[in-house]
Amino acid sequence: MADRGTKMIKLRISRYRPERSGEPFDQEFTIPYRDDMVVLDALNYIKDHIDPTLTYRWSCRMGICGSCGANVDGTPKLTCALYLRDLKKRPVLIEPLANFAVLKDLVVDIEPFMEKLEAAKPYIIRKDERPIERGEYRQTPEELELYRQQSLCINCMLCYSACPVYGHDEKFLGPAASALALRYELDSRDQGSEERLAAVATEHGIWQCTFVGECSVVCPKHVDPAGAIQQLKALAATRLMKAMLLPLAPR
Amino acid sequence: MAAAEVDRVTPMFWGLFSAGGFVVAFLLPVFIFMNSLAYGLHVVPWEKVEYGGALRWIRGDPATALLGSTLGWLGGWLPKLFLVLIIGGGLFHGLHRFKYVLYDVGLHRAKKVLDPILYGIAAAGTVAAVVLAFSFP
Ligand code: SF4
Ligand code: FES
Repeated sequence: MADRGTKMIKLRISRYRPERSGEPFDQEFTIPYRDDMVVLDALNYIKDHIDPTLTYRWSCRMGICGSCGANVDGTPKLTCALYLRDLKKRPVLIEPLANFAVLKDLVVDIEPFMEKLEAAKPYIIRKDERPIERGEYRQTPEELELYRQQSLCINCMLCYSACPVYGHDEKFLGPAASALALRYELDSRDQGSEERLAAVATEHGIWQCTFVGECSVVCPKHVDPAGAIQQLKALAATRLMKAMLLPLAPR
Repeated sequence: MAAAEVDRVTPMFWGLFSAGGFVVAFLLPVFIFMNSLAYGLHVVPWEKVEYGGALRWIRGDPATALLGSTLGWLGGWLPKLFLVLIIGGGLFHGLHRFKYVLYDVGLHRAKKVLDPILYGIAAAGTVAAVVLAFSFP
């Protein structure tokens, strides 16, 4: 296996196997590693060579599928995009994403997250639906640019794991779902702003955000969900003021 | 998730927080500069800031008014408005932020108590600023 002179690295991985024991526990593994290995490579090495029961999610290995998130040394990260050589602490601590229920080892329950995404009405809403024969709704590159940043989200949930507001109240709509709402708010083809804003401008929606900003720090795609929430707040607040001051004006 | 009601109260205070922050970010540094370094750097001649001069300005004395004769009457209102904006805006902005700090350290469950207290302080401070500013002769 390991040649002489091969570098070794020690990892401490948080395990949870409800079919065998009710309590989560930590398990340490020492494996050979090269400088070009990412954390996910280490997990795969363990699964292939040491313990095939180790359970975690991954697919693309290139920061696109958003499934490989875990807390590494306490920070939510994509394990496929984090080099072992960049981690200073030993052993490297790998835990499931915080703020989610753990199903097994590093696999968390994404169901609450899916519900939040859906609550943000993440689809184009039209008042005047055009028949299909009349073709697609066209958009200029400039119009696309308006929401491109928010559309880059890969649903990795790192932002939820980093968010202390979500940490103390699971009812909070949270960062990615809010950014997704803004993505459709800024889409020139959309006509459902009133409906969508009403769905997210609630107590546990955008108004619960205290602008900690950690979501934007950990986001691997620079979606800036914290900024998105502030933009939505400004939109919702101005719309409300308008409605009160000019009750008959079109919104 | 079940459809929740649109929150109509928070946006009001958020609006004050946001507008207050905007105003304060622009005006407060100027205010601080004009009342400290500006003298030392001779940007403002000190005679203009002695008590009598300031009083004439606040009174809207046409001789010291900034806006010429037609808008001269505004002269007396501007400094008053300025004081109210700086104090009220600062209070609503600062206490909103402070509220968030308290939420984040775990007091979010005390929202029903904290909100009235903190916004109450901001409102009282603003009213006090209005009374004070307009009680100038
Ligand atoms: S906003 Fe960023 S951190 Fe959050 S789910 Fe999307 S890509 Fe991941
Ligand atoms: S494996 Fe797809 S994002 Fe990491």
